[in-house]
Amino acid sequence: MMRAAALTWPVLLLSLSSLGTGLLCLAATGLRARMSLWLYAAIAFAFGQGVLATAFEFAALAGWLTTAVVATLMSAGAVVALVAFARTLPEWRATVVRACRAWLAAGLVWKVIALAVVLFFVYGFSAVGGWLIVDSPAFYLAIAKMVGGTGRLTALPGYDPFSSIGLLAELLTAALFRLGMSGTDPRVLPWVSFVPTLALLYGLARACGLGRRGSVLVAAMAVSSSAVVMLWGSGKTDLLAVGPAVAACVVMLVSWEAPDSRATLLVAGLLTGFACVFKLSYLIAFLPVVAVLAIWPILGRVQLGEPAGRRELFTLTFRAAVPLTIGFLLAFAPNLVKNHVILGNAFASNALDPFFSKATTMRVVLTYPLALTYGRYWGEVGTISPLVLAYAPLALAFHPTSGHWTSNRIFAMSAAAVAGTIAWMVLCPSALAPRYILVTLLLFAIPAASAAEVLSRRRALFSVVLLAAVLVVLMVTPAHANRDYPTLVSLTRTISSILGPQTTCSGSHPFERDCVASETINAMASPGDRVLTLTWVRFWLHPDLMQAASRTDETMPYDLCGPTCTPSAFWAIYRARPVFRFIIHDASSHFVPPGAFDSPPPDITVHRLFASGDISVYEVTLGS
Amino acid sequence: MTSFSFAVQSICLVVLTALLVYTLALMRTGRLNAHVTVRWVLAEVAAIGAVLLWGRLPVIAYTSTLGDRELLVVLAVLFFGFIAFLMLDSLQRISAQSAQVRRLTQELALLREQVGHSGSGARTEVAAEVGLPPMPERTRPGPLATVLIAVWIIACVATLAVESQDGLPRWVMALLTARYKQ
Repeated sequence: MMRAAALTWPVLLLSLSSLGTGLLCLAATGLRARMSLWLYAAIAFAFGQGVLATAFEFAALAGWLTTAVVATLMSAGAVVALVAFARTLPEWRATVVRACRAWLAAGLVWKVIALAVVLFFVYGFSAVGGWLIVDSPAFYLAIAKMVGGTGRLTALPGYDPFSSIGLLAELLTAALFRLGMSGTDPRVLPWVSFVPTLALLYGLARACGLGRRGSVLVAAMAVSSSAVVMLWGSGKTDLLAVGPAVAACVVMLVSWEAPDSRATLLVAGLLTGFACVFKLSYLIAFLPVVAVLAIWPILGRVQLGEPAGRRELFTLTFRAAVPLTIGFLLAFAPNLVKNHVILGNAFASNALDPFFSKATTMRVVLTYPLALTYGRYWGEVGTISPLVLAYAPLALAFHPTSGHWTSNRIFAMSAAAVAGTIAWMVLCPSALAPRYILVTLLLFAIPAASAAEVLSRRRALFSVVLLAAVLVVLMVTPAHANRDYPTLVSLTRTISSILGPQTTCSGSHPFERDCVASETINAMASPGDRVLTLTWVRFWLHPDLMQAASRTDETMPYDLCGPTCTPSAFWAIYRARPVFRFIIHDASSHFVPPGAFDSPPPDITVHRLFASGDISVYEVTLGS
Repeated sequence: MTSFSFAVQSICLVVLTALLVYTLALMRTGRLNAHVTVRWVLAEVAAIGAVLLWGRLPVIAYTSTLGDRELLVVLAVLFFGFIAFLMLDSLQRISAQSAQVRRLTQELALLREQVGHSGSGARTEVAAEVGLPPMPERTRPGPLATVLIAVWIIACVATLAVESQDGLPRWVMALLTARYKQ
């Protein structure tokens, strides 16, 4: 029971706090009057996450990310959320009653589909008991633990250039560590944050004109994408960018209807900025989406012959662009400040190496929809639901019609998704990874679900085919997500393992050896000791040791030494900078000359402290 | 006046007064149109007047000369004519209103089409929630298209199922797989 409470309350507090902060910030924008309460609350949650994480970022840059600061900020937000909930209780009750009536009025096929989606999402919690993806104990969870443990945001030693990426999700995770979550428990955050994201996807579909059926299908397409499933509990934080990005799309659509949309566009810009800081690749894949959605209503007015001339057209575009840009810069600027403080360069960046050769890249580009749906490329980490591929092309023939294409929101969303995808294909053609452009790809679910809805209304056969397709895809998705390593496991086993007795290395699979190796160092280290990390993984080191581990410039000579390196060359590098008491080595990823540790030079003493599989830990002493 | 005819007259007055009150109540609660109410009120007042002036109307002198069966036929014909007139009047009003509703629906659809907004059942739900109008659906796939679409959807889903079990042909997998820097 205590364990359940320890696991639940920090996440609950963070969620309530995100909601409250968002409600507080959006109170003056007038957005509430233009949408239903549940959609407004979901947008507020996404917005609040961005604001709260930015506040944590500034606190951590100043070294003030203490328990008192985190608890105060979170409690204030949570109180606002609870007060707002109490004040809107009758409205929430009416929303629930409406939802229940809609459920009762729905046909059997749609009841089954909706129920299957909800049950599958609940089952998705088992991802928290699945394997970690190597990136998370290497960087994402590691930097969060380091910041949470030390209270100060610095570059993660060994990943110094990579620390230039947006770290908002990591700061939310750091706050969870600060509130007492231990081990890899905070990896539940992406799954929890996906609840409002699903509501936002549903709301976006509704705002595009889809009915309840089509909107449920959009949610079905999202949860049956293994690219989403594999990020629910793997420790990676890419999913947290989807919420603000989808919220930005919803707000953009609302701005089309708003008579004075400056405040609305400002909110859309802020949400876009938060999404881009949560996931920097959205700068390429999502900004074109926002640009298309901003230009779309202006195109509609041009079609109606409203702007009299170029000057008026320019004024319209300028009026839309200014609040959007200001909002984006306000949200994005803290990342530049962070880079300036921790790396000394506001515009520091981590270049994305091409994943594949030119020939393979050409093949990827030519088979893009197939590669995104069925691909098994290196680093792809999941694919998009085949339901999107099955139904999206049909949207060309079976779509709800309207008077003019500029007033068709589904067409607008499709055009925006195409623009974002093409931008990514042109600028990063070899980086085939749905998680980099996840929100852009999920936008294709809107026309796909619309086509499915139209077809199911036209012929009863398509309702049956749709039901069968959704159920089969939901049944196959776990096997698809588990094909390389266990992602979704038994739900009951996950819950019992989370609530059961814990060890330091609980939830560390498949990195148990790295955990034990790090624990060995933690037990022996004294203040001021440093670790040479010839491994990717460092999450289980004590936060102080992580902060004092070898920097990129210190490990670089060992990497450059390469396969031709000799033991004497290896120890010459060490002797040039003999500041490390411990060396942790992963033979599967880092080369060390054979015999280097077994027969060191006479003035160097090496004690093997731990060895299991490819992982070893050594204590090194340099003689005088 | 005998006690029997006085009792019948009293019952008729009570029933007709109750009917008059009910008619006025229907009008006040908005369930009966004012134009229709006027006709019914006039008819009921006339009936009450007839009952009050029972013995002084010339028709009574005439009816007293009729036999029981003849009187019954006369009353039935008069009653039928009166009810038929009221029903025809109501039906005429319903017909006029139906025509008006049809015309308004067509005008609304034309207006929606003109402003470029759409109107299917789905978007009617949306209008309540996010304030957007819905879209009409036009396309209905033919038999061949239905089969082809169903085959396409099943193929997309089945490919994932087969791929998850490593069941795709080797050349297909080679097309969809690559190692780092390959």
